[in-house]
Amino acid sequence: MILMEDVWFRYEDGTEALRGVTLQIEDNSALAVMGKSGSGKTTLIKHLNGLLKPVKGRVLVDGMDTREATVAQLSRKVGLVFQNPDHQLFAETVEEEIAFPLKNFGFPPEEIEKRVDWALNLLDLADYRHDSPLSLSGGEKKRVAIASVVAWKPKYLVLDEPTLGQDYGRKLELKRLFEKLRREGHSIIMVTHDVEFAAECKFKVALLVDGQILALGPAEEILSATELLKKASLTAPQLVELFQRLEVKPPVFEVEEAERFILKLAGKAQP
Amino acid sequence: MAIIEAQSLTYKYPNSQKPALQNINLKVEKGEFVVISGPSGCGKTTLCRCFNGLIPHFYGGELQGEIRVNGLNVKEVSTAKLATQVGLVFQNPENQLFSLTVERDVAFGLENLGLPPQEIRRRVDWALNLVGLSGLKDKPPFELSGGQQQKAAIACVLAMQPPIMVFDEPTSFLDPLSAREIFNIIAELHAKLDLTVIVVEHRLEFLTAHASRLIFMDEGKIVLDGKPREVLKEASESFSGKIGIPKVALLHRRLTLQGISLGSTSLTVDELAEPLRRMLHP
Amino acid sequence: MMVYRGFLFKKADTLLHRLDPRVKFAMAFAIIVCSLLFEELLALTVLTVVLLPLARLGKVLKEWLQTLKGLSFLAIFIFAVNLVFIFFGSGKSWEFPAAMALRFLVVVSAFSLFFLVTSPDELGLALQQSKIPFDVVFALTMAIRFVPVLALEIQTIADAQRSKGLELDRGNLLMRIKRRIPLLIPLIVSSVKRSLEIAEAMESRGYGSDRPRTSLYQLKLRKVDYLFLLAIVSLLALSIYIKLVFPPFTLLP
Ligand SMILES: Nc1ncnc2c1ncn2[C@@H]1O[C@H](COP(=O)(O)OP(=O)(O)O)[C@@H](O)[C@H]1O
Ligand SMILES: Nc1ncnc2c1ncn2[C@@H]1O[C@H](COP(=O)(O)OP(=O)(O)O)[C@@H](O)[C@H]1O
Ligand SMILES: [Mg+2]
Ligand SMILES: [Mg+2]
Repeated sequence: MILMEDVWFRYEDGTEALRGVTLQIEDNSALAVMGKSGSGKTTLIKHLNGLLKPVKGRVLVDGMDTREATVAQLSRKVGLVFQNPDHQLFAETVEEEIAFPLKNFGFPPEEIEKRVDWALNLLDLADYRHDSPLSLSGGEKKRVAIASVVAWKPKYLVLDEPTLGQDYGRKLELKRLFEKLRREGHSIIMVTHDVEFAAECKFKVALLVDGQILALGPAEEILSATELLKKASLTAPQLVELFQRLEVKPPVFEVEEAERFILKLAGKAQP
Repeated sequence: MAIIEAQSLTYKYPNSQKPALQNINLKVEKGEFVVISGPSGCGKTTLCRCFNGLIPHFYGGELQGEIRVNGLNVKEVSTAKLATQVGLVFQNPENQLFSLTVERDVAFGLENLGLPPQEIRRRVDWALNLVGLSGLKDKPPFELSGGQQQKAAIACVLAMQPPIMVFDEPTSFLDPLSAREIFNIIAELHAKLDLTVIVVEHRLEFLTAHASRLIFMDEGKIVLDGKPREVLKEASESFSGKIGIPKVALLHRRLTLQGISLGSTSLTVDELAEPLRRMLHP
Repeated sequence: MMVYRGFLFKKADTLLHRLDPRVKFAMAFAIIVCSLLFEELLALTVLTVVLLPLARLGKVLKEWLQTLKGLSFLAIFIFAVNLVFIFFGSGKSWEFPAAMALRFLVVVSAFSLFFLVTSPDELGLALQQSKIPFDVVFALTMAIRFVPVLALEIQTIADAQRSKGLELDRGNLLMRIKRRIPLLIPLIVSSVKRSLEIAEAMESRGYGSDRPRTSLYQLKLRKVDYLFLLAIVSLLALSIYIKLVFPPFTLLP
C-alpha cells in the first residue's frame, strides 16, 4: 500500500504544486489521477518513487518513508513510465533497453534474459528485439518504454499521460495491457486527462485541482458528476452526457451497455 | 477551380522503401472545412507537408503526381512563397515559437515577407486579438501554458493571412479544456474570415459538427471521403476498431440496426439525445 | 550560480530599461574605459559609486550587489596576488593592488548592470541593426529562448533514468561519466528532433524568402537617449582631462 499523508510540495521558484494531498493506493488497485495541465499530476507521481520529497507531510511505500530511501530502492517497487519515450530510450537495441534497468537493479543474467523475453512478448515487441529503439515509430517507442519498466515487475506501475498523442487502436491495446497486469497482481496508477479512456478503463478516479484532491471515487461516480468535472476543467464522457439529457440515472460508459439500456427502456416505452 | 488539387500523389521519404502517400486524389474547394483522421503513421502529417511545399523542398524524397495550391504548382514554388498561401500549425506548440516574446514571434513571418513595420504592427495586433492573446504579447513563450502557446502559434500563421489554414493535430498535447478552446478558435476563424480550413484530428467528437467534409486515411491512402455524417456511418461499420469513432455515432448505428429509426448519423450528443428523448418520453 | 544570475535580464519598466540598448552599452563601455584610465583608488571608488545609483534606477540593486558579493572573493584574490608581487618587487604601496582589485570589480559589475537591464531581445535588435547577419543574431536569441526548456528537459531525462535504477553518483569518476550516457543520448536525440521541428516551423513561416527582411521594431534614439549620451561623453572627456592635466595623486602622502 502507498500512503500519501498531507503532502505539500513547493518548487524552487516558489510554485506550490501540491497542497495537502492525502491519498491511499491499495495493493492490486487501479487509480486514474485526472486534472488539467498544471494541476500537479506529474508532481504527485514523482513523489511515489522519491524523485521528489514532500516539504511537509510524508509518503509511505509499503511502510517505507520515501525520505529515508533512495530513488533506486523505491523504484524497485514503484515503476514510473514517463510521458515522452524520447526522454529515456538510449540503448542500441530494444533488448538492451529493456535489460538496462534489470542490470541496474542487480538481477542475475539468466533472470534478465527471461524477463526481457517475457516483456518483449507482453508488449508485442519480439520482432523488434534487435532493432534500434530510435528507429521505431512513436507508438512502438512508447511500448518499449513501458516494457522496460514492466520487465522488473514493479508492484506499482505508474504511467504519466500514456494516451497522449496515441490513436484509438493504441488506447485499446493499452487498456488490454492494464487488464493483463492487474490479473498478475500489479497496481496501476495512470495520470491522464483523457476522460473517455478513463471511463473505459473504469479505474478509481482522483480529481486534482490546483494541487489538491477535489474528489476521489469510482469512475462511475466521479466521471458522471458534471459539476465536479467542470471544477477540474474536464468534461463528462459522451455517453454520460447523453444519458443525462435522457434523465436516466445510472451512468453508462460503454456503447454495448448503452444499447441494451436503451432497448430495455424502449421496450417499456413501446408496449 | 479547386483551391487544393492533388492528382495521383505518391510520395516516398528519402531512404525509405515504402511510400508514405499512395495515389492520393483530392480536391478541396474554397471555403471548405475539412477534417482528416486516421491511425498514427497513415500519412496525415506527410500530406500536410505537401500542402505547403515542405515536401518536396525541405524533405526531399520522391514526389510523384501533381499538386496545386491556389493555382501554384507546389513542386515548382518555394516554401517561402507558399507560406503566404498555406498556414501550417504543428502538433507541438513549444517548437513553433522561437523568439523571446509572443509579439516578436507573430512578427517573424511578416518580417520574412519584408512587409513595412506599420503593416507588421497592424497585422500582429489583429492576429493576437483574434486568438485572444493581446494581453500576453510581451510574455516569453516559455511562460505560457500549452494552450496559450498553441494559440500564439495560430496567430503566427494567421498574421501572414493565407487563404488556407492547415492544422496538424493541434490539440494532441493539450488538455480537453484547452483543446476545446483551440477548436472554437478554428471554427470562429473559419466563420469570420474567408478561409479554407483543414484539420488533422483524432478527437472527432468536438470537430465533426463544424466540418463540411470528413476524410479517413489508412496506410497512405484516402479510404473514406465525404460528408461527415455519411463518412461516420460507414466508418462505424468498417473501421471502428482502428479509428476512434465518437461513441454517439457508434450507438446511433447499433440502435438503427436494432430497428430504431433515428434519422441520419448523429454528430453530437444533442443530435442523438433529441430523437431518443422523443421516443422514450413521448 | 549567484554570479551567473547577476548577468540575466531582469524585467522591469524603468528609465534605464527603456534606454536604447546601444546607449546602455556605451555607458558600460565608458565606465570601463575610465576605470582603465585610472590607477588611483579615489577615482575607481568614484566609478563604483556611480554604478550604485544607476543600479537603483534600474531596480536591480539587489542583483547587482549580489554580483559584487560573488566577485568579492576573486577581487580579494587579485588583491593578494598583486600585493605579494609588489612586496617582492617595486616599491609601490598597497594602493596599487587595491586599485587592481577595484578595477576588476568596476569592469565586471558594469557589464553585469548592462545585462541586467538589457533584454536579450533588445540586444539582438541592436546587433541586427549593427549589420551583423540576421541568421547569427537569430541563432543567438533562439539559444536564449530554449535555455529554460533544455534545463527542464535535462531534469526530466535524469528523473526518467533514475527511475530505472540508474545511480548517477556512485563509483569512481570514469564510472560516473559512463553513467551519464543514458542521459546524454536522449538529450541529443530530442534536441535534434526539436531542431528539425523548429526548422520546419521557420520554413513554413517564410524564412529564407528572397525578399529583404524588415523588422517590427526599429531602434531610434529618443531625447533621454541623447541626454544620457551627452552625460557619457562628458564623463569620458572629464576623465581624460583629469588624466592629462593632473599629476597622478595618491591618498597617502
Ligand atoms: N521543475 C519545475 N519548476 C517549477 N515549477 C514547476 C516545475 N515543474 C512543474 N512546475 C509547476 O508546478 C505545477 C504543477 O505542475 P505538474 O505537476 O507538471 O502538473 P501536471 O502534470 O498536472 O500538468 C505547475 O504550475 C507547473 O508550472
Ligand atoms: N521525416 C521522415 N522520414 C522518413 N519517414 C517518415 C518521416 N516522417 C514520417 N515518416 C513515415 O511516413 C509514414 C507516415 O507518417 P506521418 O505522415 O507522420 O503519419 P501520421 O501523421 O498520419 O501519423 C510513417 O510510416 C512514418 O514512419
Ligand atoms: Mg504532467
Ligand atoms: Mg502526424
